[in-house]
Amino acid sequence: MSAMDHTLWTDRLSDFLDGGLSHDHRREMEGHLAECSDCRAVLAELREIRDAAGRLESPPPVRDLWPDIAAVIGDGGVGATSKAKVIELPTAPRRRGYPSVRGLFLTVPQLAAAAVILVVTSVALTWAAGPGVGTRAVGSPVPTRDLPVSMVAEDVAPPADLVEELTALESVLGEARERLDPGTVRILEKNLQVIERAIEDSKRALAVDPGNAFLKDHLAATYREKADYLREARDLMEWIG
Amino acid sequence: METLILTGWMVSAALFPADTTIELRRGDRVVVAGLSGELVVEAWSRSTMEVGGEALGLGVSRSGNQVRVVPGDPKSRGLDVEATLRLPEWVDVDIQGRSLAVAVSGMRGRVTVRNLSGDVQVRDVEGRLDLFSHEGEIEVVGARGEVSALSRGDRVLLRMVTGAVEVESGSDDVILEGVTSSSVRARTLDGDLYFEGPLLGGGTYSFSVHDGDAVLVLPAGAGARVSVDTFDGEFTSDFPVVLQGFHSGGSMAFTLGDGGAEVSVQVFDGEISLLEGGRR
Repeated sequence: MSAMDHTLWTDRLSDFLDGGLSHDHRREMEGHLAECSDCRAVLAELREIRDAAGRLESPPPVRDLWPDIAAVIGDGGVGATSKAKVIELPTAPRRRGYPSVRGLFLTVPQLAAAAVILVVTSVALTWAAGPGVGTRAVGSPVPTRDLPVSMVAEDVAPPADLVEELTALESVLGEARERLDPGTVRILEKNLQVIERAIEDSKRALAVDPGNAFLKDHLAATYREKADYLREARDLMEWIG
Repeated sequence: METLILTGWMVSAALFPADTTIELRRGDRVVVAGLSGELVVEAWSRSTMEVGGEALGLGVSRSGNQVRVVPGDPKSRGLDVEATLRLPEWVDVDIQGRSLAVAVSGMRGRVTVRNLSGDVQVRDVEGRLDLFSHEGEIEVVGARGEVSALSRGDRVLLRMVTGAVEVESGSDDVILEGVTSSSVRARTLDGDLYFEGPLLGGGTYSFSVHDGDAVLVLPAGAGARVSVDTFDGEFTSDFPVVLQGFHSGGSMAFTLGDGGAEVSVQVFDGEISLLEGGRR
């Protein structure tokens, strides 16, 4: 294998460590790691750095930056969409390959530059969870799923036109358990769990940022997806049950 | 091989053995139902349908303009088949299977596939595609026409497709490569989303990810009004971005080039990347 070919593997190691590779690419990487001691060694170093970074405390922002940003935009209000002024953002350095990764992004050349390892990123713009929160250090997001249940917003009901149907459809899986074989039920339940998890994520996010229109739309869309899915499960019972 | 010409209702529900060739007419629809195993559907230049392969116990019946291929022998129900169906390219085909891997190629009529599990592969087709799987991967390579593809539990991949596209994966990646379309809607709840293709003037492009990354590879000089929304995400662009609107939280809008297309990217938790094609 040429050095250039091998770089393709080493460049993916941090993706692998972060769980950012697709299923197929992860399999390929696992196969390569089984045969390549160099990559195993680099992976071990990356893991050490990640673990060390995780033990560091993230300093809070020196001050809340939102008021300044809002002032530059124009009216300073939350939800402003002023066209009076524009802000030019820098283009980002390019990243090779796809899909890209979340969280701390490390490559082997960056590993060599250990002094700056905690700030490396190709991100041009990073958001916090809402106005007033200020900026947050790149690579230290607050996972939504870690928010306490008590923070889940109350106004997170399904869209009004779906409430009745969803209630009726909820019984579909119970019926499926009786009529379909265990393997089919397992598939249905597994796929439904993904949707339920997305709904819970959205609810928790709305607890953090209750006025966020995107989150409201996202939650509503996910409820609609749940309804679609339960309809599909009902249809499935009709043609294979 | 015997050739049968079935005429309308007179032969309704009549069953014929596999390795049978049946004359089809324009306007006919071939329905394949109740099979498990592997099914290959190939277009050929004849106006007949041939059922071949290890299709033990399959039966064929006609009712009006619908020709059905089903397990004909009660003893064969639940058994896996390895069947090959050769069809005139213009006929519509509708396939329903439980655990059925399906490969379709060369068709020009409408193709509908619905299964519980088993991968669905479609190659070199023209005409509307409706593909749905609860658990199987869906892959379309080389298609002209409207494409709707949804896998709840596996990846959806479209490559070299021209036409309106609506794709979704419940819990895996959505990959759109070489897609030329004025209407794209792509969504995944738990996986990455990748789009590579031109943005056509007046076109609408909607991408939604719950937990995963969205990567859009656009040609240099792409023109679009772009809106980006995220809750806990990051945004990277190869293109110079001039903000025209900055909403609360993680929402913003900007224009690329002539702003001819409409692009919406929504990622709840993940990274959004606008990459310029040919630069890597």
